[in-house]
Amino acid sequence: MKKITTLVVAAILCLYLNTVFSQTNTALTVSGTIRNTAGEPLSGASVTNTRTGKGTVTNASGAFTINEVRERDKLRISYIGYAAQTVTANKDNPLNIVLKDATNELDKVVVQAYGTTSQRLATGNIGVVRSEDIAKQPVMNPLQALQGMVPGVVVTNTSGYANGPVKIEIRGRNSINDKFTSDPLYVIDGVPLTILDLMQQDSYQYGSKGTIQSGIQSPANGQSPFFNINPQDIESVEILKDADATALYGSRGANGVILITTKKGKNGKTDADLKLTTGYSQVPRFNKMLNTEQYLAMRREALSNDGLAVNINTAPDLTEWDTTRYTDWQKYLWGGNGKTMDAELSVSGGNAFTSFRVGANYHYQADITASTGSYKRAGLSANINHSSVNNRFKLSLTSLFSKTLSDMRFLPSVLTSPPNAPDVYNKEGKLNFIGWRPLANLYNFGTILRPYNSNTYILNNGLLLSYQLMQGLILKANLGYSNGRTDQFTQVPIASQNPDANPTGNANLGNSFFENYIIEPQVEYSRFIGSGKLTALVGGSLQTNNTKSNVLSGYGYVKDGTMDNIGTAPSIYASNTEVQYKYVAAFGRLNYILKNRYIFNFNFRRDGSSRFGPGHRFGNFGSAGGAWIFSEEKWMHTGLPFISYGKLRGSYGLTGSDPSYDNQYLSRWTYANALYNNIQPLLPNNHTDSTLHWQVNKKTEIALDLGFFKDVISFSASWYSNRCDNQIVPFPTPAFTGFTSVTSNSPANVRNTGWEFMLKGNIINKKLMQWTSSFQIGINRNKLIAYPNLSQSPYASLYVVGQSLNIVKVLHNTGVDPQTGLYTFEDKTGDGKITIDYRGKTVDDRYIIDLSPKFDGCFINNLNFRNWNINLTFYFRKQRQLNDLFSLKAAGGISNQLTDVLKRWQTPGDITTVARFTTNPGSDISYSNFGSSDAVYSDASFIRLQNLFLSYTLPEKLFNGKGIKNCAVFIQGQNLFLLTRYKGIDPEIPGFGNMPMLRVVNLGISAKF
Amino acid sequence: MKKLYIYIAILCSIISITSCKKLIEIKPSTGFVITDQVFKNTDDATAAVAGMFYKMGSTGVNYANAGSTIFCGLSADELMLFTSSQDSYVQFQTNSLNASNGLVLSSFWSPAFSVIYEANAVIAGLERSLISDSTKNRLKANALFARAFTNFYLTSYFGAIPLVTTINYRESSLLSRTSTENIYTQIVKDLVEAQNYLPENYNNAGGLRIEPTKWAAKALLARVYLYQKDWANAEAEATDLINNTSLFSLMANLNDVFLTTSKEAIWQIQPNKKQSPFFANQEAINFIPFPSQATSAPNFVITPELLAQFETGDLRLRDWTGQTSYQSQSYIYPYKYKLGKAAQSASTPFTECNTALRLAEQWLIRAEARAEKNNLNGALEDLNRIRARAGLDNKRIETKEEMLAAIYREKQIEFFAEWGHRWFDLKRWGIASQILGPIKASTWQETDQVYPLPSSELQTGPNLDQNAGY
Repeated sequence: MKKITTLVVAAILCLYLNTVFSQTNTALTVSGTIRNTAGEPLSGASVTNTRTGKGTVTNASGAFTINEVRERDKLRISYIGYAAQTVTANKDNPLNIVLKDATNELDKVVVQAYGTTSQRLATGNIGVVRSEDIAKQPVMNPLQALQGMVPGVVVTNTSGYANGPVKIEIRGRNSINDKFTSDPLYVIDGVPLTILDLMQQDSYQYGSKGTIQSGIQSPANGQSPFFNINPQDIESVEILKDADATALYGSRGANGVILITTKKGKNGKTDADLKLTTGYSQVPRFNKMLNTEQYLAMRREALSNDGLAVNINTAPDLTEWDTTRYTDWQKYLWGGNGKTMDAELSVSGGNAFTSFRVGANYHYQADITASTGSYKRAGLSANINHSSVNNRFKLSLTSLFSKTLSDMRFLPSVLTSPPNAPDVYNKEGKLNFIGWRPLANLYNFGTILRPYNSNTYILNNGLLLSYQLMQGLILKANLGYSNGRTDQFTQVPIASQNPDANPTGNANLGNSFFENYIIEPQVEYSRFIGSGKLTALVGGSLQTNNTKSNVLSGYGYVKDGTMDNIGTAPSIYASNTEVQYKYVAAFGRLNYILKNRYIFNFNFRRDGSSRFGPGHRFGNFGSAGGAWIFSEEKWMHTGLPFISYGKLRGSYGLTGSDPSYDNQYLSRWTYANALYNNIQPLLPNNHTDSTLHWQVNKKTEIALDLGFFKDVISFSASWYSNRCDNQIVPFPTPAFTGFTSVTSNSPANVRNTGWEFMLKGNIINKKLMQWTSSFQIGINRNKLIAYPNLSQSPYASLYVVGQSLNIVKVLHNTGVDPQTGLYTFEDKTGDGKITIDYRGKTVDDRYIIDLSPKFDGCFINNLNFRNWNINLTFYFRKQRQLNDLFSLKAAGGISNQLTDVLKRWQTPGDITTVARFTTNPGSDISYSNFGSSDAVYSDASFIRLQNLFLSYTLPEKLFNGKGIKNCAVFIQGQNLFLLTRYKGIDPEIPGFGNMPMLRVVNLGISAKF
Repeated sequence: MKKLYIYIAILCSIISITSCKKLIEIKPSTGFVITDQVFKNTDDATAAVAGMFYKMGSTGVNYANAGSTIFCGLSADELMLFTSSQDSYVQFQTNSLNASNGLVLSSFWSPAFSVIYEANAVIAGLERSLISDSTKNRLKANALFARAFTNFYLTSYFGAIPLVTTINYRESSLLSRTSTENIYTQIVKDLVEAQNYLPENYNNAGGLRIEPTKWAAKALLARVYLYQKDWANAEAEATDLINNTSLFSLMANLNDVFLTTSKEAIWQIQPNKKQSPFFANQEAINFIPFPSQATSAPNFVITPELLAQFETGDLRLRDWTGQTSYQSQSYIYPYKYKLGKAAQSASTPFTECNTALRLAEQWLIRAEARAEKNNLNGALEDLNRIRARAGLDNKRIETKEEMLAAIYREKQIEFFAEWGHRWFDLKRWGIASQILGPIKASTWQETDQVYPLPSSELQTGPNLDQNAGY
C-alpha cells in the first residue's frame, strides 16, 4: 500500500519540479478574477494561453496570474459547467471575467466519481438524466424514470406494485450466480445505499428485496428503497458504465454505479416552487378469458374426452354451482381505478456565502385492486451550502428524510377461477368459503382479509467539506450517514381461512434496519504542468454497513381480534439477525489534459472486504483511459468545419465485486432454539471455501462522440466488452455432502459485449419554437465464454458454453397430432422418442432460447411552441419471453382458460395448435412437455408510449405584480399505449396472472412565487 | 512549496494507515460459533454431539421422527391414507414414487445426510481437539453411533448409497454409491468401535434413555448382524442385552412400553419440546385424530390386511390401536404413543419418547437367529416370551418353516407402525412381492423395494446413478 502512495507522491513531485525549472520571465504578466453571473468567484477555473498551451488555475477568490503572455495572445477561460470564453491579453490589468452557465449539453456539469467533469472532458462513459427529464414522468420511484433514458441501462419493473423492487442491469448480466442481483452501486449525495441481503432471498430475476429484510413475504416481493426517494428532489442521476468511470469505486463498481445528486440551493432571492398533481391509474389491458358458457362447454368436453360422467366427484363446478352465474374475475380483481395525488413545495434562496433549499412533498396513491390499499409518502429535503468570506472553506450539507406507508394485500390468484364460481361474500358479508363447497380449496379471496402494512423511514445525510489550502490544493472530506427502517405487519385471521380446515390465526411483526456510514478524506491538487493541466486526487474510503432484522410471529390464535398482541399467541416464534459489512479502500486519480485535446486519466483503488477470509481480503483495481478531442486540431477546423465537436475515447480497467453473503468463508455452527437432554445443541451451518476471493470484471470501451453544425446534431457511439471471471457463486453441492451449496469462486468467464448509440438533434431552434429529438439504443450480447468442466458441474443442465446465461432449453412444439389430439414435438435426436435430460449429461431433444433483451432504447421528442411544451417518450425493447400460453398446457380442469383454447382439437383430422381438453393432465406426458416447449416462449418485443407530457405556461401578465412566475398547467401520462405481438398482457412483466404495469394519467399545476 | 509535500505525505500515510486490516474486522454476526472454537472445550463439543440427536427429534417428519414409520408403513401393508389428496403421500402407498417426490428428499435423504455430516464434523473436529482423551472418545463414539444408525436407515430405504465419511465437499460430492453389503460393513465397524467408549448405563441423562449407550450400539449391531444373516453374532449380541436384566426388561403393561420410564427402551430420541405442538413426537401428532380423538377424521388408518393378522385376545390390538368414528364410519389407527396434537403443549411433561430401539426386538432377533440355526426350542422360548406379554397362548411348532412363519407374524404385530420394521423385514425375507403384489395390484413392481434417489441429487452429484425402475 505504502509503495503505491509513494509512487503517486513521486509522480506529482516530478511533474511539479519540471515546471518550476522551465519557467522563465516574459514581458507580460496578466492577472484577473473570474466570477459567475451571480458574482461568485470561481475557484479552480482554468486560464490557458492558447498559443503555448500553458496556463494556470484560479485561487479561492477566483484570482489568477499568468506569465509568459505576449500581447494579443488568446486566453481561454474555462470552468466545468460554464461556457468557455476566450479573451485577448493586453496590458489592461486586471481582467474581470464573467462566465455564463453552459447551455451546451457538452459543457454542463456531470457528476463523476469523487468530483465533477463535463461530457466534453470526460474520458469515461457517464450517462446523465436531469431533473427536467425526471419531472415529466409521473412515477413514484425515481428508478422508473430512468427506463430507456440511458443506453445500456435496462430498467425492469418486477411487479405492478408501486413500491416493488425495480431491477437495473447495466451492460448485461455479469454473474452466473442467480442469487445475486444485477444492481449497480447506488450513491445518494455521496452516501452509498447498501442493504445487505439478510434473508438470502434476493435473486437475479426479481432483484433485491430492498428495505424488507425480515423474511416476511411482501405482496410486491420486496420494497425498493427508492420508493422512499421523491423523484422531484433529484437534480441529476449519473450512470457510470465503463472502467474509466467506475474504477474509482473499485470492487463496488463492477455492475456500474448510479450517482444520485439532489437539488441544491442557489444564490439569489428567495423563491418558492409549488407543484400539485392529481390523477388516476388503471390496468391497461386484460386477458381474454372464457365466459361461463364457453367454460362449461370446455368442462363437459374434457369430461367426455376422458370418458367420465358429470357428477359431484368429477365436476362439482357443474353439478353443485349455479351454472348461470358469470363473473369476470379479472375485472373484479383489478378492474378498479386508483387515485393519485402529489404535492411538492420547495423554497430556496441565499447569498454569495450561504444558500439553502428546503423541500417538502406528499404523495398518495390508492390501489386499483378489489381490496383496499394505498401508498403514502411524505418527505422532507434540506440543503445548505456555505462558503467562508475568503472562499477557501466550503460546506454543503444535504439531508433527505421520508416516510412511506404501504397498505397492501396479496392479490388472490383468481384469474383461473371458474367464471360460474359463487359470490366472493355470502349474505352476511363474510367470505364465502362455504358457498364454494366442495371446491372451497379454490376460494382464494381469503387474502382480502389478511392485512399487510409496511412503514418505511429513510434518512440520508451527506456532508461535503472542503478547504483550499493553497492555490490548486484542496483538502476534502465526504462524510455520510444513512439509515432506513421498515416495520411490517401481517395477519392471517381465522376468518380469512377455510373453516373446514380447523384453522388457527397467525400474526407477524417484522422490522428491518440498515445504516451506512462513510468517511472519505481526499486531497485534490490541480495545476498547469507543461502545456496541460494536471489534476491529482488521492483519497481513502471507510464504509460500514449494519443490517439487522427482527421477526416476531404468533401462531395458533383461536380467536380473531386478539391478534394485535403477539404476546397472547399460544405459540410464539421470534428471531433476529444482524450482519455487519465493512469496506476500506484507498484510491487515487491522475488526470492530465494536454492542449485541451489530449486527455489522460488513470484511476487506482485498493480495496479490502470483510466478506473474505484472511489472505484474500484485499484486491487492486484500476483503469487507464484516454481521449482525443480531434475537433480541436487545426486541420479539422479547416478540413471538416461542419464537425463542431469530435472526440475519440477509450478505456480499459479492472473492477471487482464481492457478491457474497457475509461470513461465507467461515466454517460456522449455530445454536438450536430448543434443548436436547438439557443441552443447547450446536448445528453445523455451511460448507466453507476458505479461499473465497474477489470476482474480477475487466472492462474495455472505445467510443466516438461527434457534434455537427455547432452541435445542433450530436451523435455518439460506444463499443464495450466486459469480462467477468472468478465468479462467486453458491456452488450447488449434492445434499448428501451435508449441504446443498457452498459459496465459492467458479471458473466461469462471462462476457458482455455491446454497442450504444445516441443521436440527438435540435431540429428547430427558433425563438417561438424549439424541437429537439433524440434517439438512443443499447445492444448487448451476453455469452458464457468459458466454463472448464461444465459437464461435471451442477450447472451442466443450466448453461451452455458459447451461449447467453439467460437461456432456457425447450422442445420444439410441432403442433397437435390430428389423430390423437395430443401435442407433438420434434424428435431432434431422431431416436424415436422425446427426451428431456434435466441433468444436462446427454443430448436431448431441446433447443436453446435466449431470453436476454436484444436491445432496448428510447425515442424522445420535445417540442416547445410559444407557451406550449409537449414531450413524447417512446420506450422499446426487443426480447423473447415466457408468454401466457403456458396456461394452455392442459385445459379442461376446474380452472378457467384463455379464449385461445377454443381452437382445441376435437375430432380426428382436426389441424390445430391446442391439444384436446382433458381433466387429467397427468394422463399424457405431452401436456407437461408443452410447458417445456418453445410454444410458451415467444416474441415479447414492444414499443411503449412511456410518457406523454403536455404543459401550458400561463402568460406572465395574468399575474402581473402578484409575485407569481412560471405558472403552468400540465398533463402527464405514463404507459399510454403498447405496441406488441406478445401473447399476454404485459411483456415487461411476463407470466400469466401477474399484475401488469399500470397506466397513469395525471393533471397538475406548477408555479413559482 | 515544501508545505505541500508535507501535507501530501501526511495524507498518504493517513490513508495507508487507514487501509490496514483492522478496519475491516467486523463484529461477529449474531448467533454462531466458529468451528475451531466448537471443539476447544467440552461444553461446545458436547453441544455439537447433542445437535445430531436434536436433529433426529426435531425437524418435522424425518427418517428418525415418524418418517420411517409413516412412509415405510404406507409402502408396506400396514397403513393407508385416509384421503388421497396429497399425491406425494399417495406415491408411497401405491409404490409408484417419482424421483422428484419432495418427501423423499425432505423426509429421508436430506435430514439423514445432514446428521451424517454433523457426525463426520464431530469426528473430524475431535481429532484436532485438545480436550481429554476419555471425553473425546466418548463423544466420538456418539458420532459413530449416530452415523451407523443413520446409514442403516438410508441403505434400508435406498439400497446402495454414497458412503460419506468426510466433511470435505470437494471429495464427498464426487462419491459414487456403495453397495448395501459394504455399508453394513462400515456400520458394524462404527458400532464395534463405538460400544467400547459409550457409557454402560443411563446415569448421564438422569435415567432418561435418550443418550446412546453401549447397549444401544449392541442392539443395533444385533439387528445389522441379523440383516447380514450372521445368525451367530446376532444371537450373541441379543443375548447380551436380554441377559442384562438389571437394566432391561419387557414392560408387563403395554401402555408403559413407550414411556420415558420404560425399562424396555434401549435408546429413545427426545422429541423437541419447545416448539410443541409443531415439532414434537410426529407419530402421535400424525396418527391421533385431531381435534377430537374419537370423532375426527384420522390421517392414517391400519390396513385390513394388518388387522386380520391380530389373534383374538391380543392385548396389542387393545392397547396399541385407537378407534375413531367419523361421519358414522369407524377407523382404526396406530396408538402406541398417546400424546397427540391435542394433548401436547409447552407445559406437557415428557412422559413418552420416540423409542428407536427396544428389548422386544432383541427377543425376536434372537428367536429368528436361533430358528435359522435350527435351535427351534430356543427360538420358541423367545417367541413365547413376546406372546405372553401380549396375553397370548404359547405356540407349539414342529418345523423350521413353521417357526420362521410364526416369528415373521409376531414381528409384524409387535412392530406394526414402528420405524418401518415391516417394510424392511418384507424385503429382507424376500417376500415383498409375494405379500405386496396381490395387495397393491397393478402398481407393484419388483423394483419398488428401493426408493428412488432424489432427482436433484443426480443433477448435483456427477457420479451418482439412479436405482433401477426409476
